[in-house]
Amino acid sequence: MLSKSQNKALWNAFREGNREAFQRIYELHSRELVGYGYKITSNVQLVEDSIHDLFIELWQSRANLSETDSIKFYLFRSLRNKIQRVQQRDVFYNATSMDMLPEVEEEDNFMEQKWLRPEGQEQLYRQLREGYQQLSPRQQQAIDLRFTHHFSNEEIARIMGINYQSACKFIYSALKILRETVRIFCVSLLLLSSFLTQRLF
Amino acid sequence: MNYDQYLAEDFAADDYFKEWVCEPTPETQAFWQAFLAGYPERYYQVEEARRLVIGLNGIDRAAAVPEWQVNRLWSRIEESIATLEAPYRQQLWRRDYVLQLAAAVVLLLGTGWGYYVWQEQEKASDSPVAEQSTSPVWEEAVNEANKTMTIQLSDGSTVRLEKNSHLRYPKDFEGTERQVYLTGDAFFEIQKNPNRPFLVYANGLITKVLGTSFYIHAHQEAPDVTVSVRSGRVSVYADVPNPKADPEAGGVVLTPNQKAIFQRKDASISKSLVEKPILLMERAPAQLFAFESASARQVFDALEKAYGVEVLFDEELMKECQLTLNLTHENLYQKLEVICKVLGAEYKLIDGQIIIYSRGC
Repeated sequence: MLSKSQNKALWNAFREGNREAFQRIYELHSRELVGYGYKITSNVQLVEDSIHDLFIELWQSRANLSETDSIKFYLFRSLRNKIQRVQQRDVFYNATSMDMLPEVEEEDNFMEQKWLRPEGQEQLYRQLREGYQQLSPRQQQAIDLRFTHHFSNEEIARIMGINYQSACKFIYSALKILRETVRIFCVSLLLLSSFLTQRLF
Repeated sequence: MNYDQYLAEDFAADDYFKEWVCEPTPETQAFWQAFLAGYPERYYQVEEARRLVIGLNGIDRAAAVPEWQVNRLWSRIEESIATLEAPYRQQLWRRDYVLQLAAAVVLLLGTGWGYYVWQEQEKASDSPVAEQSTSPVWEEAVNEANKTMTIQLSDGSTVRLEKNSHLRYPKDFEGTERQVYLTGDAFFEIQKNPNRPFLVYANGLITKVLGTSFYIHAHQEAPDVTVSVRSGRVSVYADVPNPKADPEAGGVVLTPNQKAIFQRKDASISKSLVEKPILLMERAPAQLFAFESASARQVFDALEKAYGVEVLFDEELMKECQLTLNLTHENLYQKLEVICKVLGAEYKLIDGQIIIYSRGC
């Protein structure tokens, strides 16, 4: 992750028309933008078109953009606005559906993580994933923005176009649900550790 | 902050808590340790919250977005920008037409054992080049057909591979250099990228493209390799394994109509002019070589400008010389012959330059 001053410098270089900086911005954020796009819509075409338009507009209006120390926030918010605007007026996009998703299958992702993560965390992830599926799309979005993309509640509210209280509520209610899924795990840990404690002392 | 009343979800929703879990600092570490020491009954709430934060960070779906998807999208963005800025780009194109005009030409004439040499290169794992090449995915193209094979490289460059030729290239160019290995004959059309030089490895010679257009003539069985430049700049140097110094410093930089001769035996490189220097200007003014009472300076300036070569002569000695001639249809050497005959001078090619020997007029 870039520091605030690095962010600022990169952004300023881009605003001055530095093509390298522009590409760097894309490279830094494109994957998470696509990932976030999928949170708002399952329509791949819409996500890609919106990111495409977003970067074209960004390049064209570079001279008129104001300073920022969080490029990521700017991009996320712009992307969400873009997708939503299209969704609201365009029937074509709304008509297309899930089967347009590329092979970003849950399964592969899961397998990959299995390789990367130690045995003990496996259960935690599986349980969290189950809990995550129970969340509403908006709750999932808020949780992603907070825990995957590390935005503040304030920023999340602005990205999602909701007020601060609503953002906090989405996150808090989601965490309550998710907590239940990890609780069992923790209880078993608790039992295990108390069992061990008894054995040791 | 009444942390002592907090439940797991409260902790997980707390900025300061999350900061400690995700990017602990000595300060946050001290704070939360002190907190746990003071309120040990909160331990399981804290532990649960910690797991929530870590776990949710881990179910990152952005990681599942495949590389090709964002690459494809970027190509699309670049294309659109290029289209939008088309008039501007055309101007640029015309301006450095000479540089951009011809794509880079790499022609390596190889014989049957070219493949063997390539395999040898493969085995030489101690060379720094081979070490670098372990990370990207390498593609191999072998052309055994009678037709030319066209290969598209990931940077947009294309390679036309001739018969009995072999090209080894990375699926995606990574790092700061674009490197390919070639044996046999090939024609390269290289995308200009000043930040990522394009390197061709062959027969112990490295050809580095700084500009856009050059020509390699390498007989596998011959003791030398020659590199001729059409336009732009090309750096040529020996591929010395584990060099103490920058090997490029021992090489030469070639400008248009110059060529380098690389002696494979002692890895020495000398510079000369190509056999058939071409006009660098796409459309040379018709009167460029129609001289009327022209001074030696004017004549040689015209040659320098048109062929991108350097002509050295004694201006003081030749100040009386005058020339009335039309040399529009002759090539560079014919022009030099005629000029020298008329002026009673001689010329020599030394180190890629033309030296005029004159006793004055």
